[in-house]
This record gives sequence, structure tokens and C-alpha cells, in this order.
Amino acid sequence: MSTVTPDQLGHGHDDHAHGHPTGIMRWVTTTNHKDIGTMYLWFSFTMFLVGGCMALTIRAELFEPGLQIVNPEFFNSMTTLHGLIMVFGAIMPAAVGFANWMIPMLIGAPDMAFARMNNWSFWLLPPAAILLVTSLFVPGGGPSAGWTMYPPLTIQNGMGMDLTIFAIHIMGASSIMGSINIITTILNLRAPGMTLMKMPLFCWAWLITAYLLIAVMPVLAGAVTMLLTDRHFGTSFFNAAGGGDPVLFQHVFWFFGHPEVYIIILPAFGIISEILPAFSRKPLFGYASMVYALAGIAILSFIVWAHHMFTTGLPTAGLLFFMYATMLIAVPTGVKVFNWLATMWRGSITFETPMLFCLGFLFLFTLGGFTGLVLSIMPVDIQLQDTYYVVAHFHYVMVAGSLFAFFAGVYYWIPKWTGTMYDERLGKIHFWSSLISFNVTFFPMHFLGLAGMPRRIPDYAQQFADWNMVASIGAFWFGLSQLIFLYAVLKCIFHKGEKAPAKPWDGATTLEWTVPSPAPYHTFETPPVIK
Amino acid sequence: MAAQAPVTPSSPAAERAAALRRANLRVAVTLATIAAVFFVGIIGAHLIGGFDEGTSVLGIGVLLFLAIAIGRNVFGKR
Repeated sequence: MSTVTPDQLGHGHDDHAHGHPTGIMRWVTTTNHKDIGTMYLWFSFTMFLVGGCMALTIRAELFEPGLQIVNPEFFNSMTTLHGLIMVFGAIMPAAVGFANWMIPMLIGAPDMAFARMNNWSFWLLPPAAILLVTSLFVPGGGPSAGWTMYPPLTIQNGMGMDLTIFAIHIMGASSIMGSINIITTILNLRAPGMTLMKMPLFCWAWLITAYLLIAVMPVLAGAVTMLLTDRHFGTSFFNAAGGGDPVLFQHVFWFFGHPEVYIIILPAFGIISEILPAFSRKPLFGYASMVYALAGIAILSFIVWAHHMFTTGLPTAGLLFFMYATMLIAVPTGVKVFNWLATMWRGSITFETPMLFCLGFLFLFTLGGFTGLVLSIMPVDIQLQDTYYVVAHFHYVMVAGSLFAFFAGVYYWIPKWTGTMYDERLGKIHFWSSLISFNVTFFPMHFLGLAGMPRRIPDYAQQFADWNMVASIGAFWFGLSQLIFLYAVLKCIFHKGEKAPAKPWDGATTLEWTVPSPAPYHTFETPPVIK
Repeated sequence: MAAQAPVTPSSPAAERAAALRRANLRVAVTLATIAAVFFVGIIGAHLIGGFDEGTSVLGIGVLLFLAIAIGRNVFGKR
């Protein structure tokens, strides 16, 4: 990890504003990485609430057997848009928001390498989000083929599918531009003395994530472009009626889709790797092995995609290859979990809210990873394919994994962002309420899946009623818990709390803590020298 | 009209800034090219043929991508 010499503290940053625009134009025209990071985070939280409302619609319908609230077509649109919005609108932009805010400050750079492109990357997102949401209101209804957009359903869907395809194109372009910016910033703008192997692990996690994005987002864009031409221009890439192969779409989609899982989780790993050492008051255990584990996970993610397709009739050799390759991912992931535990071992641990969310992440993500290992066993997966066991598995990874890490990151860095300490009592209530309600929602889904309840259905057999009721209660509880988070964040923004010192956490060692809180508008215009 | 003097970097700091801009652009163009190749490659592979061609193009693309990513790092250290 990097250290900075005392004589550099406070050098090279100022908080004068150079006459930049104020009001709404500040946000529209800004090229400042902190402003853009803030916009990404708010956009992501807004989409989290929109996607969350869709999830609650799903859970309200599933509260008891039978059709109560929505018709099946709308239910299908809800499951589709919930997935797309959470993945492309909430989790990915949140990770980019953290990257924008923190990467320049962690490596001692004055801003991102391409500041104007950074602004453009963000402002592509709101139109894409509008396209996604308005797809619900066009003739033919919203997209209803699931977030995986498998043909032939997507070829048969109405105009909502076209809007979804355009939204994905736009979001993909935004992600690619963001990734180019992040890679260039990390490779070219590091402070003198900040070698790659001295970088904070969050930067490593994002460097690798950005490479993954560059490789797989164009593949998704290509796949949905082919869908579009199948729908409107008479091609038959995936249209069986014209000699195309629908299963081919699944290959291409999951070539994107599996690395996408790591695109979502690697930045979360980076955040956890910053926070655990700070609250354990020890350096991160096995820094180099953590970097190699990140790279190992990223490389393996390219060769496991067909484990999502065990029931499509692949040859036995293929099934075995993808099964063993998937199991192999447990090795670098295990290295990371071991190193996080070893970091805490004999540390002077304190349990502030960021640390609580890290521990919640560690416990629940490991559980989600373990059910992933169960699903990688091909004969088991053939039984559990498209059941609620899969829904439980990926929500343990996506929500308890990524989302909990992002909550940890917000509580950890919000003193630096706003200059005000968050309300510790509210933070702890938010943590415990989220932790318990999350498990009330998703743990019963393991039982439902093992009992054979299929996913993406608005009605179900009577024997699944009890656990569905429990899951629905948990979902509404989890949703309401997030209002506590919103209140805690707003309190910081409106400075209703203690003033934050430059370095509120004893064990924090990275560069952002060398500047005052809140961080000045411009930081490290003269780069610090890292010893 | 008076002829204007050509604008040239006049100080070491300006030269460093110009060199940094060039380096940034070089990285960005390389990465954008990789993205474009993947986008065109996946559609092209499907236009040419079926699963085998598609998988081959993707496989070669991934290997080239890794070779460039790792190679840049290795040669950058020399």
C-alpha cells in the first residue's frame, strides 16, 4: 500500500472554483470527477428505488397463490425490467460513481484523463433509463423475455423490446467510454512513486473490471444489434423460422453475462479491501496475491459462460469442461476470502457501520458463492435450473455482495465527500435491518427452489405459499430499510452531524485522507510524491 | 495581416502535458479499437457462419485481447 510523506499533506490542492457555472448548469456541464461521481451515485440510487419498486410489485403478487394484483404479461415485464434496471441502471453506475469519486484521489491524480468524455459518459445514462422505463407504456407492453433477452421471445415482443435494445446500446457506449477513461487514468495519471503494485486495491479491482467491460460490452451490443436486425430487417441470426439458432444467442449473451457478474462484484471486492484493513488497523494481508486473484477471476470468467446453459443439450465434454472451469473460480475467490479473514486476524477491530457492512458482505457473499459452487455441479444444476434456488444464489451475490459493499463504501467515504460524519446509530439500524430483512427475503428462496418452484411465474402451487409469504414480508421490510439509508445520507449532505476531520478512521492509510474533509473541488493539482 | 507565430510547447511543463495528452490518446484509441473489433467481430462471425466460426472468432479475440493487455504491461516496464 502507498504512504505519503508528512510534508506533502495539504500540498497541491485548493478549493477555489475557477468561476465554474452554478445551479443546474454546474451539473450539466461539469467535468469535475467529484461532481460526476456524485451524479452517478444519485442516478444509481434513483434507479435502485425504481428497480426496487418493481421487485416489490413482484413480491406483492407472489404474497399468496393465485393472480391478485397484476396480469401475467405485466408480471413478466416487471421481472425483466427489474433485472435490467438493477444491473445496468443501479449496480454498474454505482460502481462507476465510486470509481469517479475515488480513483483520482487514491492515485494522486488531479482528475480523470478525459474529463469531457467523463461528463458525456454520465449524461448518456438518463436517456437510456428513460427509454427502459417508457418501454412499459408503448404499444405491445414492455419487454417480457427476462433480463437475458432470449429469442424467440424477444423476436416476438412488441416495441418495448426495441426501446430496451436501444437503451442497452446507449448504456454499453457509456460503460465503454467510462472504462477507457478509468484505464487511461490509472495507467497514465498515477502520482510519482505510485507504482502499480503500490496502488490501493480498489484501483486494481477497477482496472481489471474496466478491461472486462471493454471486452464484453461490445459483444452484448453486437448480440442485441443482431436481435434488432432479426426483428426488423429480415435477418435470421437467432430466428429458427429463417434457419437461425436461438441457442447461439445464449452463447453470445452469456459470454457477456458471466464476466458481467464479475464486473459487478470486483469493484465491491476493491471497496471491501480498502475498508477491512482500515477497521482492523492492519495492512491488507497478501496484497500481491489479492491482485493476482482478481486477475485470475477475470480471466476465468471468460471460459465459464456455458454453465448457464447446462440444460441446452451441450456435448458431454463441453458440460464437463464448463463444470470444472466454474469450480476453478472458487480458488482465487477463496484466496480473497482467506486474505480478508487473515487481515482481521489479531487486528484491533472496531465495528463502525462500514465494518459491519463489510462483515455482512463477507458472510453472505461467501454463502452466495457456496451456492454458486453447488450450481456449478452439472447434474445438480440440471435439477435446479430456472428454480428459485438460482434466484436466491444470485441475490446473495448481487445484493449481499455488491450492494452491501457499496453501502460500506458510502458510509466509509461520506465524511470525505460531505465533510460531515454520518449518524452512527442510524447506520447501525440500517445495517441490522438490511441484514435481517435480506435473509428473511432470500434465504427461504433456497427452500422454494429445492422444492421445485420455478422462477418468473406470477402464480404457484399451494405448497409454496408459506415461504413465499415470508419472502414477501422480508422484501417490503428490506425496501423500507433503505429509507433509513437515504435519511442518513441526507443528514450528511445537509451537515446535520459532527464535522468530519480530514482522517476520521485510525487505520486508513490511503491518499484521500491527506486532504481536508470535505474534499476540495480540486485535489492533487500538484501530484504528491509517494515513498 | 500579421503572420501568427506557430504555437509550440514553450516550457518543460507544457511539453510534459502535451506528451501526457498523446499517451492518453494512444491508450484510448487502442482500447476503443479493441471494443470495435469485438463488436464487428461478433456480428461478422455470425454473418460468415455458425457456432464454430463464432466461437473461434471470440476465442482468438480473447487471446489477442489478453496478449495486448499483458504485453503492454510487460513492455511498459522495460
